[in-house]
Amino acid sequence: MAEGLAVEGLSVGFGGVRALDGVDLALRPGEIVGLVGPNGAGKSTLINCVGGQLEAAAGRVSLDGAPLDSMPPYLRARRGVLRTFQRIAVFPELTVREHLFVAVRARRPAGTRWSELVDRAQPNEAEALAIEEALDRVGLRERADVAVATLPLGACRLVEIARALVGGPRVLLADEPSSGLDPREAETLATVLRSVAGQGTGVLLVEHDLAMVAELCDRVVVLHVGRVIAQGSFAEVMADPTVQRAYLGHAA
Amino acid sequence: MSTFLSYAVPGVPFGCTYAIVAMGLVLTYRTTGVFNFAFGAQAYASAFVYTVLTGQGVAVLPAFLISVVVLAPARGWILDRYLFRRIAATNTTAKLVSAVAIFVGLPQLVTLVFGSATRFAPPTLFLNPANVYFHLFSTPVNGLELETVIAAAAAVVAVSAVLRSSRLGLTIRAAVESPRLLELEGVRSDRVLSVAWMGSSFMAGLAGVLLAPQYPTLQFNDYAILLVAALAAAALGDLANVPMALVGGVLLGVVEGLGSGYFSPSSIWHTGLLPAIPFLVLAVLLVTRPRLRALEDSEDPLSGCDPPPPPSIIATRGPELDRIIRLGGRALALGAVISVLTWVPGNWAFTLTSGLVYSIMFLSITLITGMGGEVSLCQATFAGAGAFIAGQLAVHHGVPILLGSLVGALGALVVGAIGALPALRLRGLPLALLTLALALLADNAVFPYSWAGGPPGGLFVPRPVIGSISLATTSSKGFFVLALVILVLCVIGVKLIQRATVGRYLDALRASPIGAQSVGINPSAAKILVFALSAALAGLGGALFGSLQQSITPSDFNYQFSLVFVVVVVTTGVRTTEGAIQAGMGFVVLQQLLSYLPGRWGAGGLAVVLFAFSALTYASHPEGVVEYQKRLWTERVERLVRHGGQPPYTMATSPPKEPATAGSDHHG
Ligand SMILES: Nc1ncnc2c1ncn2[C@@H]1O[C@H](COP(=O)(O)OP(=O)(O)OP(=O)(O)O)[C@@H](O)[C@H]1O
Ligand SMILES: [Mg+2]
Repeated sequence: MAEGLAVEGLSVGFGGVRALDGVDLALRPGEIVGLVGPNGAGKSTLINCVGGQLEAAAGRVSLDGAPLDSMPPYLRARRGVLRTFQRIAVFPELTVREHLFVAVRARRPAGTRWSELVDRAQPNEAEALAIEEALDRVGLRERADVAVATLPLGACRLVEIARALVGGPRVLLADEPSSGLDPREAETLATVLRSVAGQGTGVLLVEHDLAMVAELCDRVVVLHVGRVIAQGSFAEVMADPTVQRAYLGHAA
Repeated sequence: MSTFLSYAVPGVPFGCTYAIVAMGLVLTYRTTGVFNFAFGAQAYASAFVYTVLTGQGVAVLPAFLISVVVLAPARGWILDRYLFRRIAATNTTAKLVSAVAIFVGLPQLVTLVFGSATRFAPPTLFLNPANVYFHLFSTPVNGLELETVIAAAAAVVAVSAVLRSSRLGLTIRAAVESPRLLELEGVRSDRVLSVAWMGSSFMAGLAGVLLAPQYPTLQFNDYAILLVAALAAAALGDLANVPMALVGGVLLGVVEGLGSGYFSPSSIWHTGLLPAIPFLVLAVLLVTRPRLRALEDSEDPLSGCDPPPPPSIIATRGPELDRIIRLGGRALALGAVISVLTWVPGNWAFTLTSGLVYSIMFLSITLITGMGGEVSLCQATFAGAGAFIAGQLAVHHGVPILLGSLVGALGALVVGAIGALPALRLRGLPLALLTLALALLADNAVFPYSWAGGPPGGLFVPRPVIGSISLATTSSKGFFVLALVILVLCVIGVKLIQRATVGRYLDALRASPIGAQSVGINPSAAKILVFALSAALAGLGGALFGSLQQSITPSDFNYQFSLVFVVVVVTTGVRTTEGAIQAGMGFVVLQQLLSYLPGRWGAGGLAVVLFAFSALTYASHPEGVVEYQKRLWTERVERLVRHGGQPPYTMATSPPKEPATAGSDHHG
């Protein structure tokens, strides 16, 4: 039984558009895989299928051999499949700390208890520890108690990263996490992703910044109009003529 | 066969009016993303003006021109220009609340201006209703029926011609896809939107005037049903397909015609099922059609460019201001309580007591809309469920009313939880429509039965007896204390939930459903919980309302109250428990004050109109206009006290400069 995330033969269509067409992908624990491809290649669609936001027309997604296909997104999250969004999906009125509290609490496999209807929304010791650690990792400690609505886009992306990793995910799906980040924030992001992977989380990184992909990823998968056209190390993939054609257009 | 046709044919003209409105609904929805509830009210307003004018001896043609050709498009233009255009495309709740406010306010405004005298059916437009023009398969077709069909056909032909052939039609169809992309192309999409609004309002007006002669008297209720029937027709075409909406409208009319022909007038089908057909159709379609479920997901590719809404007042209000407001509020509340118990005259004590009871019902809206982020249009139905259960138990089984109220609340809780099940996959507009359909279903098919809504003369609900103290005396001071205690308990309960983990989950789900689910929050459990608890609060409030009034009928809880409730609470502030109390007290106090006005101004409609127009500010002040004013004034006072010193915190009326595009990823 394969450890980690396995995607087999995933296909999705939107009307006439084949957004994904028989995609296979494996993500082992502790591995950072770069998912690259031109705009509209189907990268976000793939992440949505793995996260459960989108239902695939065909194909299978499994985590550590257990199928995820019929699970709603929240159950997948409780299994450890966490993600960030290309168009960020934060909760503007909550503070950074509240984001992390909600995330770490909601992931508890047993679900919500009745007592949580009237408790004081305070993290227990283990949760508090996880929250503080996540805050430190993304460097948002000073701004932990301000409403996220008042934070700039870059900080919001880091909040999403922190929210996804606060409970120790098995798999982290990051959809263009570096867009809108300033160089210092991007540096923080790279450090965070590396250390998360170091703790055994598989990271699927969708990224347009190829320098970052080259620096971070153990393996790169290139998607083009819904198909995997190449995979391997960054250097191998970039040397592939099919990839060059896909990126530079059909003239090359 | 001929019986079949003789039943089907009379349904066609009704179907045609449904079809016209359905077409207008689809047109505005597709061009502007606004689901215009107000169409029912607009049709009514045009019919009203037409009826008044012809009643005054104005000839049919000028009356038609004024009411339909001039007034209706003008209304559409104003609605677009001064209301809906100012609401961000993605702010579904604001669009919905505004449309509901118009739906509630416009008919009341018309009554205020023209008086509430019974108006009889106006003359038809151009054919003689008494004249049978020909026989269709031996079924006589009279002028009224023929005229409606002709007018509907003409409207359809005209609209499709415009959409298909002209440049304007092309731009409208493009605006349907994405107004903003169109703007990038250099087209002024706002002019196109204006035209679409005027066109669809014209259709609403036309349907209204065509429908008016078909009923013996002019009643707003017929137009509300027209709206729902048109909605069901539009839903058949997934709110996108104009021809399908037309077919759906006519079909619905025919089915109703067949039903009223085949079912004997005294049968349960005739009284219960028949009026409920449009609501049933709508509810079933909403739950089963995937396209309708997805209505919520804006298809505008640029909709993600909207800045996030400003953080609500609760998030930005400084601690000092918070303390001032809280202290002031408590002092005021204490003063009011002492006054009621000492010197306030009986009628005012009764008014304030009913304010407390309304506050309990309104807390249910704090829960479902303020915390759950969903607009429910059936809260009065839940209140009715609680009241009728309590009343029936008291009358038939001698259950003490306080115990009965609890059972009523429990009953409403169960109804709410069950009602949430079909709504699990819905949110926003489709969910609101479903709750409206449920409310109408209850109004038409459940509450009219005497086992539910009580005998025609009203269901007696006793006042409570606590130990040896009976609260049934004419003075309602005892009841006041009781209601106050229950209200305080409810407020504490709601506040507890707000501060608890579940409250945080709700905050997250409200702000970004897909973000919340992506971290492991179960949206279905939250929805069932919120619906059930909210229904229970409404039910409890309803039962107390019944006990206070001592006699209730189904019309005390019909769907219009649900709409008014939403409008009132949204005006004062839906996000806080204080908002609900202000709404409850404000609603009754304003009504009582206005009742001192002479004539029709004192008849009760004015309060609703005032609230409806204040609710139109919801888009700019989602925290509630009263809450907003409160903040404004406390800040002014505070600055004055500080001798013009720096304000201690800034007013968050505009979003932060660097917009964090908080929204859902585009694959909702
Ligand atoms: N909800 C949708 N409806 C219709 N088509 C869609 C939808 N979502 C995605 N698509 C289409 O599917 C294809 C893949 O889109 P996707 O968003 O996955 O691309 P991407 O690789 O993430 O691109 P980008 O780099 O721009 O984020 C595109 O052609 C897109 O237009
Ligand atoms: Mg993408």
